[in-house]
Amino acid sequence: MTTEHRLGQVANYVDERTGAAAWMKKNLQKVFPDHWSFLLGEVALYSFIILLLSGTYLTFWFDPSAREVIYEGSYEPLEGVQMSAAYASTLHISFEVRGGLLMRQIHHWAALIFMAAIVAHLMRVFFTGAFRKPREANWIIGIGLLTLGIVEGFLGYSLPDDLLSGTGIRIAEAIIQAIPVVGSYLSYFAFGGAFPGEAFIPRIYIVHVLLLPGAFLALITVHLMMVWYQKHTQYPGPGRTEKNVVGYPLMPVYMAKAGGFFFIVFGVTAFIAAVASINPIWLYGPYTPGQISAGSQPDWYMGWLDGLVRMAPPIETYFFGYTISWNILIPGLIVPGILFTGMALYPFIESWITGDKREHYLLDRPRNAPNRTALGAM
Amino acid sequence: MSNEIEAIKDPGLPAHVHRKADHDPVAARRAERQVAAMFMISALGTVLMIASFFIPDDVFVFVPVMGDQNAHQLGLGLGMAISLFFIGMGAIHWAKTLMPDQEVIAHRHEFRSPDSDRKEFVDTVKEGAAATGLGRRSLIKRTLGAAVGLSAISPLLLFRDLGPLPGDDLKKTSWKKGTYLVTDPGDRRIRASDLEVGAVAQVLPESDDPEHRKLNDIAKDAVLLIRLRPDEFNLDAERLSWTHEGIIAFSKICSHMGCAVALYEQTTKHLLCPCHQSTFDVTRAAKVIFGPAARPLPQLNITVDAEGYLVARDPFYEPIGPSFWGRISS
Repeated sequence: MTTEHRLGQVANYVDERTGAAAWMKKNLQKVFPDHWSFLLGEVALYSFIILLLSGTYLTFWFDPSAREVIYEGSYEPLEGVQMSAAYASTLHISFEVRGGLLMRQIHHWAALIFMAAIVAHLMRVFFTGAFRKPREANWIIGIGLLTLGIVEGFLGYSLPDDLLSGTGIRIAEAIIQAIPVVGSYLSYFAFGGAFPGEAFIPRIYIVHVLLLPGAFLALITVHLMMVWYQKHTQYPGPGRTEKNVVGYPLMPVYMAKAGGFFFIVFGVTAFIAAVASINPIWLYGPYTPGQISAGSQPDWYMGWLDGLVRMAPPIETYFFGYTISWNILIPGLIVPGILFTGMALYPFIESWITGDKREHYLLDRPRNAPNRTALGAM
Repeated sequence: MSNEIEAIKDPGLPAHVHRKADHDPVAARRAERQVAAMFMISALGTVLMIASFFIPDDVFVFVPVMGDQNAHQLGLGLGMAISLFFIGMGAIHWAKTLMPDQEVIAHRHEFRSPDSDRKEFVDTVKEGAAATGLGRRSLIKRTLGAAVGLSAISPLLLFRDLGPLPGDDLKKTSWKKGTYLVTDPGDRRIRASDLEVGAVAQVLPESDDPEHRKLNDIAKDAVLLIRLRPDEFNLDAERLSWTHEGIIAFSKICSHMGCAVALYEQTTKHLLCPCHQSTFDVTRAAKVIFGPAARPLPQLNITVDAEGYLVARDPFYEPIGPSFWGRISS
């Protein structure tokens, strides 16, 4: 029996039960336009897969518990120090599990690349007007993914319970506590009592490894299915119109290119993780609320929030004996809320201002949409 | 002469330019060998990774620019990077040189459904809605709305035991009248003479069980002691009486967002919070002189007992740490 015959039998078996041949035939010939800027979203997707793989690896050793232990591992400077099981198991992954440090660094670098790729992809979509009709819903999903990414990243680097991450959690707690009327209640519910308590690490762990990745998977699936169904946009050029798609078929060119690109993204991430240290938690020490390391800074995608908080004017108002902390509420909740709502609604705002209700499949060159480009640059 | 500008016609796709490998068998062979070479490099990367796995943890190699590197870690990472990267490079080189590179055109279809389908859809929905009779039977509509609305409360209720209610917990610390100040770490009582002028020390309230201090307590009890010359203070009489021989005590928990205010600038006598750069003037009872904090760090009223050990004369006069809605209400 030849290989071809055997493959034919398998295909026959599947097709008689699903009728997949007609669908597959059409979609394997699906045409995708080619441009380097279309790779940015791919980088985000592949980083997400790398995060799932490396993150699952880390869960085999990580102990998401605030239980106090005395460190007895191989990192001598911390020998005999009291710390949480979460911090001790992160040290164990870093020093005793072979390949553990590499996977930790791949996971952290992939998270930074994931966020960078999402932001770059968002800018590409914004400046070329790819969010216009009929893609408004997919733009909103994208903003949702960006928001989830910020939260997921923050929870992730909070898990090791080191002196830097605990300080970040403390700040998050202060933001919750500043919410008018219910703030201190929400904080006590979130932390199972006073800060820091012992409930928080297991709670954010399950959110970080199950709840949010599940939401990511669902949203990314819808995001990609919409791209597939609505067909990709393309840059204007000879032979390219609003009515067609010019590019290469999925099988074999795009499969080889996209599949190959996944390995390149993974390889580059592994290279960075091999030569560039990130989040060396053993240098920070275990978390205790009475200490801090100088120059405590969050990961880069939190920088704008941290900067907003630093710039906020020192204003608190008191009315009827109650306190409203504008110095926390404005930079911590109000400005980010306005910013993200504005971004999510932007396709509708632009269409309302310009009166443009047409469908768009050809992308704008940013120079041809000066108002939008100016707004985006701002 | 007419001023009308004629629209430029779409010239269509430019003519396809063939690659060398498309018609030159020698070039095609070369491309094939290049792809194969990249896959081989990937395999070598995997070999490097496997070999590195068994290098002991204490072997270091010198790498220019990077300095001494742990051979085990570096080999594992580089091996993995090479093995993955060159699979990708090989596949893409293959696609670019040997797979068809003729662009094809596919047509878009309109998403809008034909009018007949739309009409049928609207009719189906209307029929279905009419069949339920929801429009006519307002009793059902209203009770259904109330039932669904109410049922949303029960999940909220189930989350009630996530944590206790705060009560006045946020307003209390372990500091009481007569609590000894002890060093952290060390848990030794402190005499005024233990602190030089210009010195800073972190202290905690004396505990029955210093081996097992809770982080929850430290989060509220951490205090900074700073000793100045008494004439350097710029305080009112009451606050001056809260100091002892130039020793002044503040809550170490930032009044902004709760970070530990740990940076003391000896020459300017400023305390700086490393999180958001709020700066407090020690000589003026930790008045905020820069940054987003809205309130001074609460000052702890201290004195000495008969034997000269530092003790708290009173609990904190206000809640320490970041603000919250009911902070100053009773």
